[in-house]
Amino acid sequence: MSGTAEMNAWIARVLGIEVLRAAAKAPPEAAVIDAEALSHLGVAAAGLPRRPDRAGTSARTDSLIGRAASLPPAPEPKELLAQFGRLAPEFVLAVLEEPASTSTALREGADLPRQDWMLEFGDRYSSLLRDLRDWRRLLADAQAASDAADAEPGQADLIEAYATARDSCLEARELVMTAVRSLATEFGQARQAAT
Amino acid sequence: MSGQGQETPPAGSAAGLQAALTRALILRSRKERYHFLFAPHSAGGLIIRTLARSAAAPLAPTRKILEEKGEKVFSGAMLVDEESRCLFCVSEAPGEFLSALAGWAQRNVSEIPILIALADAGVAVSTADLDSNEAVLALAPTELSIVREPDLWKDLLRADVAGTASVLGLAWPGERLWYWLSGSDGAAPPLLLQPVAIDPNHERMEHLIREARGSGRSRGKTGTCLIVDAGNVQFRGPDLEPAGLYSLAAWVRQHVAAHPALARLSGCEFLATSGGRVASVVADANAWSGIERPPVPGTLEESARVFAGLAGDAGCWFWLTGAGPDGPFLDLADLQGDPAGESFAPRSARNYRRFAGSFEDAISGVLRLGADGQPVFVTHEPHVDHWPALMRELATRAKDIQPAFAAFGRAVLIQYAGEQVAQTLRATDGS
Repeated sequence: MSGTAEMNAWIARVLGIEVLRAAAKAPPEAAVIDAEALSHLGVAAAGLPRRPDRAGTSARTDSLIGRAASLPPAPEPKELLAQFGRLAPEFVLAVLEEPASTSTALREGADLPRQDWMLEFGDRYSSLLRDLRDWRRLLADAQAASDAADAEPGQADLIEAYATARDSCLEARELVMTAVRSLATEFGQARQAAT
Repeated sequence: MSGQGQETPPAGSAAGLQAALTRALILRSRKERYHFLFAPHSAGGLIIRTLARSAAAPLAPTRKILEEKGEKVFSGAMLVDEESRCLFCVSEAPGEFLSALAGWAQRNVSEIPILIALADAGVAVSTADLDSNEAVLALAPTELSIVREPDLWKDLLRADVAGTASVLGLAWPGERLWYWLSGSDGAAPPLLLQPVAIDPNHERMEHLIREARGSGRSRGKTGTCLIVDAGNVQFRGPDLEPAGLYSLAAWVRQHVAAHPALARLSGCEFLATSGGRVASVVADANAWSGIERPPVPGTLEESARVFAGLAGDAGCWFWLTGAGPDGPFLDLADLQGDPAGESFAPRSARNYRRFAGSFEDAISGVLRLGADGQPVFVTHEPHVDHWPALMRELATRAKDIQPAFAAFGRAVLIQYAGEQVAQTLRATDGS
């Protein structure tokens, strides 16, 4: 098949779609009709994004993972948190600029895509900071309860309040320490996987 | 922001100013000091500049222009405290400033989601020359009298069922969401969600979690979730427990009539992760009996629904790749309500990110029905030689994926070059 007119005639005959074209001599209203018809046929598709010429980059993610992998194991919880704190800005930029977008369902035994594993660390770090804030608040409560009990020695309700506050505080501390140990183990595994 | 996530808007445009503000707030640090300019009724709204990289009084010319236009303008310094809260230092009218800032944030938070970072911002009056870098560097937060008005910010982002349903209803397959899941009683919903793309530092989630826990909810489990290709939600996290699935289903059953988007959770799966692997998967169709998940945009199920609804002259947008999860993937979307493709363009961009190999083969354009319901694909894509094979595969696999796609076995493609028809192809070509 050759020639636009012949093609248009074929489309009209075979597909039942009329293709109108704006000829130079056609009246102005024909151009409008033409535009509408062509729009129906997909000329508006010209406004869609063209196919990218390459897959998306993962330079920031690569750099972040490389940097995390090169960190020495943190001997203390405080140092581990400091390491995560230092990685945070790069993490945020990697998440924004190279968002994980795959939609494949994962099954048991499947590896997490590395960006998803990275997000899991972001989530764990946020949880840990939240637990730390809780612990700090409970510490302050326990201190206040202790001060109150000291101020009025022998007051049973104050002593009980202090004991309750202290228990909550110890519970929060345990929660934090468990989360830190778990994060350190997982981070070690991730660093190993990255290298 | 640049890269695959978002296009970079022009620096001086409203979108450019919003992008710069977003970046400044997301990356704010207590180790930095900032100048700020706030004009509640101007397009720019709040502008924040890092002190270390700016000349003294970098915002003075902008302030002058706005003041000459009669705009109300506040300016000064911004600090960040130990809890990452913003602290604004002004030379006068701190109460008026804080009220105006909270009102402006409330009006703009849906467009600039990171404005949640302003929640519980403090304000202090300083007699220092706040245009001077040295003076701003010398500000000592402990010596300032800081005023906070928590009530001003309480409606900025609410932990409620409508919020969770809204995030779920707008989620796109492959889009990552932070989740917080709690099983115990409380006034707030047991499931909170926020798109990672608008909350990369978990700040909006933290705000919601604080509110939910304040209402009596327990500590909860957190992680990420997403809608997968089949349209169901997969929750992923280290602490997920099977019991959570059942309490979530019970909660959805209770609220789905008032919030239909919650039905998207029907058939969801809990993936417990450990060491970068999926350790176990929990799913139970029985838990969701009677809660039917609607087709999710961006899935073959939804494309089949759109295709089945085509009639007469009506067409739809199409985006096709062979790089789908199990072969070809076809995304069909409304054309009548989106004639210029304003919604379909970002949707296509998401598809390119979602299917890594699609940059090599994707074809997009308009699909409509010809005589006898024959599918007619129309495109401007220059490379379409692989189209017949993709159509045949969709038609052959129709039984397994969507029966409606059997019609693609007799589809036709019209390729335009500008306004000229370049060629037509039939699905049977080359078979």
